Amino acid sequence: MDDAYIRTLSLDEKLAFLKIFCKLIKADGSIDAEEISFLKSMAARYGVDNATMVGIIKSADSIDCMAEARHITNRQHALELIKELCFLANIDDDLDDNELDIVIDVARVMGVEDDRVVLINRWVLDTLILNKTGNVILERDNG
Amino acid sequence: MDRESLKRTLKEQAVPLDEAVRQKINYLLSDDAFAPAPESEPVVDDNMSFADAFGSVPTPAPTAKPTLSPLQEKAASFAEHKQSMAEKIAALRGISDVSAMYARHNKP
Repeated sequence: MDDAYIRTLSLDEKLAFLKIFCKLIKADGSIDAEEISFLKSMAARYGVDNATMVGIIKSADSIDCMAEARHITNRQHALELIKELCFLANIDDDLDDNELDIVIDVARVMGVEDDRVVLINRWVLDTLILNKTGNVILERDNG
Repeated sequence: MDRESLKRTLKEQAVPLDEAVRQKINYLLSDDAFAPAPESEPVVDDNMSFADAFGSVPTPAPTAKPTLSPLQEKAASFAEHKQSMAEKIAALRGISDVSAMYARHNKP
């Protein structure tokens, strides 16, 4: 995924992103290897240290996603957050109702239209399929 | 859009990724992925008569099929092509190669 938008995020926005990701990961009650790997890579991409990330994960149950989403007032950042949430929700082949509730709640708090959420989700799925296809064809280990 | 409709739409979009990847690879292996472009229209010479360029105008028979517009013809042709592609994917062309590819990829 394109990282250019991360450089434009404030520290508060980065922390809000990571907290919402944690909440989504725990939403279906289980955390698989791909989700943990994704969360670790996201923390590294956002320049957040391990201690901060561990603190976020430990307090995931008390995170209020909608309050965190109110930190995101920039339209571009809001769309990127929805994109990342759709990626995270679809990567484990198990789209949980609780995960969808978080995506919808966060989108609506940030003023992202339902139709736009549908479009972003479709594009994320197409991207996931294309990337995984390339990994299989090129016999990459992270397929 | 109400909340339940939105949730339903998002759920309907979800696909098992491994199966989608398998279908994608099958498609890439099929002939349809590399179908040749349609033949170009014949060049019309300015010196040609109408009859030479386009032939005589046929009188449609009373029971002839209605003439389709170019756009309708393209749409019908694409629908046939899409159906043909779907049938080929369903027939799992080159399945042994794809299975071997998957076996190598998913090796523990």
